[in-house]
Amino acid sequence: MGLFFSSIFSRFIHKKEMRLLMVGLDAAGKTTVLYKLKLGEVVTTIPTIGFNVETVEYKNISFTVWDVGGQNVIRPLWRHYYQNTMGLIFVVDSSDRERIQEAALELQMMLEDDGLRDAVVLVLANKQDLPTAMPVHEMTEKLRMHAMKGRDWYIQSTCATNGTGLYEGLDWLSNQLSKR
Amino acid sequence: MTVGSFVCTTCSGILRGLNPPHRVKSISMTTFTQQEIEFLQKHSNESWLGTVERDIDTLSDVIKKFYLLSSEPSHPVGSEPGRRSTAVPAPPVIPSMQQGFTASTNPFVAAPIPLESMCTNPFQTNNRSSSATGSMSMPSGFSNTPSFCLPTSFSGNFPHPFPPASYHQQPNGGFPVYTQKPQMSYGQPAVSNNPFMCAVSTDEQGGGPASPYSTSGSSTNPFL
Repeated sequence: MGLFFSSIFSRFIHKKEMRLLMVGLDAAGKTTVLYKLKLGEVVTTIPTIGFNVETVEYKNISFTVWDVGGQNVIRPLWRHYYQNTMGLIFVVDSSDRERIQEAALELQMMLEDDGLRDAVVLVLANKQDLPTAMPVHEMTEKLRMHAMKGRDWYIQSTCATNGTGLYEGLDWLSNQLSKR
Repeated sequence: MTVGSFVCTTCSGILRGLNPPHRVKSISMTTFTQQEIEFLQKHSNESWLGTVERDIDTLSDVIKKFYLLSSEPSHPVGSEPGRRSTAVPAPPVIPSMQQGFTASTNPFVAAPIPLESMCTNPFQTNNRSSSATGSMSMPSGFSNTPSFCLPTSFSGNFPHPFPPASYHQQPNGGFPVYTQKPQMSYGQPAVSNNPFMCAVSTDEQGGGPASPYSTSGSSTNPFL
């Protein structure tokens, strides 16, 4: 009984933590997403060299978000961040029809890696404000999400510049965390 | 890549913030297809700043304005009679590097000087870093990146001011906008000697990776 209460009690005082890795092709909006979550404002970003990391508090969960540069030469470095990653945020530019296949391939290759075996996948279909943006169902199809077996995934349409969808994504992640 | 010119990191941030955003590719962190290389060679950086109206307030206004102008299809980019004839494979790195801007207190006065060293640079470093990819590890891998001869090189050989009349003597005959109103904005106190140097110096203070592309130049990174 005492154990029961203490476990409930510790739920309130111990903040849960979740380590998230945010990747995606260059110019998908990863850094913009990160700083929109962190600062609540849109910042001018330059192509990321290396990474940015921020802690975002939401619903009593402390999300540590690693935002890693997405230009193609530095993509092989992503795998160095896989360890202990509980959730993968894959950001895609929904308006970039030319490179959606490239994005699908990168996602597929990443999920084959053993380091992400237990990670849940949140896809942010970003830049939904642009008129040429593909809707979520089309993105799901193009990214071949249904072919993913034995993986918890969710696709969320977002617009990082005005913030729509970002917290819905975090909601899903926090639900996933509480399931564990 | 949208307009086929080389820009510094500060400008790249501004261009990415346009709506619709311009596509920006990093020289050191990405590879270029043959098509893209040809596109860059064809468009390059010539003559765009010369098209900007003179009633500009800030550097970012200049950049936004002339990229908006130059992406209009009807706009005569590169149509000046005396085009630069340097036979180099890659155009300069900074959009402002064109010869209409060689007046004495001009912020872009340093541009023509490091041109030769930069021209050969972008694709070399590109090759090197792509071949080194396999052995890169984070974050030490970034310090292996060769330090580029990009805007940082300005600080080394910043030239003495040109005579004020020198822009009349440019081989390309100068730009009409400047010869009509030469007094405008060159001596603006608000503009420091070289705005691009400001960006570079924050890079150096950041103490980040050796690359001048370091994100530490960005105001977006609160750690730096």
